[in-house]
Amino acid sequence: MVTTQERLQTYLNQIEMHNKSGNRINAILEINPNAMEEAKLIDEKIKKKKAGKLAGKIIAVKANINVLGLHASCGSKVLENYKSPYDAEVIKKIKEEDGLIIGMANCDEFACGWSGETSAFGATNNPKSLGLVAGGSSSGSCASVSADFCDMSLGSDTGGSIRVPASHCGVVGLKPSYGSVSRYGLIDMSMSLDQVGPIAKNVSDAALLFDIIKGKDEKDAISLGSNINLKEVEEVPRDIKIGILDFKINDLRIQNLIDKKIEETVKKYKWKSEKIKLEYIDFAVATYFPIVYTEFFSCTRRLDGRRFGKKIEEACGPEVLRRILGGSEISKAEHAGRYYHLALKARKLIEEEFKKTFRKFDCLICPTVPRLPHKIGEKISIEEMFQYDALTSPINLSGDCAISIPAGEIDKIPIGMQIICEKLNEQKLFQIARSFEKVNLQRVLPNSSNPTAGSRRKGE
Amino acid sequence: MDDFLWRQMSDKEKEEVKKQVDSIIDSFSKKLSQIKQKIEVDNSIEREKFEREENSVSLINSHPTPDPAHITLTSTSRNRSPTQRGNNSIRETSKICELDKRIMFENAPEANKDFIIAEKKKW
Repeated sequence: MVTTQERLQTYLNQIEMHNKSGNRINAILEINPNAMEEAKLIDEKIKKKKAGKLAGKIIAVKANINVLGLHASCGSKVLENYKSPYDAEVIKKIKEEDGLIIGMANCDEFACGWSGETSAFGATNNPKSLGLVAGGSSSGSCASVSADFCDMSLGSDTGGSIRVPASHCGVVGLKPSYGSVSRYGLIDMSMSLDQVGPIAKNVSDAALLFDIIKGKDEKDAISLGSNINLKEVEEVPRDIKIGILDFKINDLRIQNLIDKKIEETVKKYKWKSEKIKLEYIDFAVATYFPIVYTEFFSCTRRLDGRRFGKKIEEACGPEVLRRILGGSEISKAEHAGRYYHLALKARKLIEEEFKKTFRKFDCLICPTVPRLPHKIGEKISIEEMFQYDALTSPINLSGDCAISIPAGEIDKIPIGMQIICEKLNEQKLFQIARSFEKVNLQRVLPNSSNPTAGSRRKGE
Repeated sequence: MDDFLWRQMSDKEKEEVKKQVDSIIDSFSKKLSQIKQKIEVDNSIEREKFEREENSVSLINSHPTPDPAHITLTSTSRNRSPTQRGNNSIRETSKICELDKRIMFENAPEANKDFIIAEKKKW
């Protein structure tokens, strides 16, 4: 049996080989200096049969989540020297169950991004398709799992920031229902949309990590909690009715791949499926960004160079500045009706539309991202960038839960399939995802007990 | 069109970003104006309880507490006598506060012994 210390050493060796050199994934910003000591303590607990549910699991954490003593830099020069004075609630829960934090994962600066390129500490490389973006903003979290730097990781999702990189990197990423996981200790980007979520190599591990981090928390005002039964996740549900989202995608190969997977699975389990069009989904991007810009502007006012690092406007990159200026404009009293109130109304319509849809369907399915990832450093318009969130941001607006699971490859690039369920139905979501996973995995991803197995593509 | 890699921006680039922002938010507004359906927005949050009982207190467990004014007792500490609880929680609290104070001062760009320096108008 492999000990926690041995597993940790294997992952540390991987990081040494391929984080800053070798494949230059650049997923990990900081290693926990106490990791080996902590691993030793966990192994002693395992020997005494007193270890928690995450004993032996090695977990990376997105750099916008506070881990006591490590740097919550948020991928930014503004907070590059900011050492966390406390553990976020999700970290506290992980530690209570003997999960081991290996270090802090790279991310888009203050979670503002879609590709992993806006980090002040360098872009994250896609481990499955070197030279292409890993996706963002939880770029390092997803790339770490994909590159065998850890078993699982934590990311945060505001408009697709877990699901988009999970799709590009060929791993599983969950955006939980809004309120099901405490945000205490998460450095917010957009408080009415942010959620912390798990990333893993398979659905079962994602469910395990979600089971640990979920729960009502008095320290988070919007916290609701959620329940799942891990044993039932393995059961294939009966009589599932799937809504296949009808949405115009330029790259038809992506939709065809997803359609094929749904057809195979529906046939195997005798489920039903039907195409469905959502009227207001085309307005999602125009609804999402005014809300994000406004809330981000608000949350960055404390970064004025007094208590925490540098004044943000003086040390940030272009995308962060864009969002601050946008939020500043939208927040002006004379513009509120023109932008913000319109966005809130559109948000309500989108939420109602999803609610209505879930009366008829158990889940909705669509591609996670309507395009393939671009090359790192490629020139791309802001409008094209917005499209990365076109299919993920609607679910943040509605507050429902969604998961991205690997569905196959196009041109050897991983493609993710997004499954969406009504809020607080993570149980059903995991069951459906696990059912698809049993049928549809083309490439066997390593399970978390075998850290170095699995494919890796070297420079193409 | 531009790339999205992080870089230190010049004043000229900052001006270009400002101009771009106006056009971006206008495009959002035009798109949203196409929605004809009227809807009332209710931003209230439903909670089971709108009041918290006095004396039902929960220490933020093992967390170093940022603000000592918000310290309260945990349900786990209720098994001890009130005096023991009081003495232990004061000891735990002051240990937590010292650690938190040290890290907070390390994080502040300019500090002097017991206070953070923030010059007027500097930010």
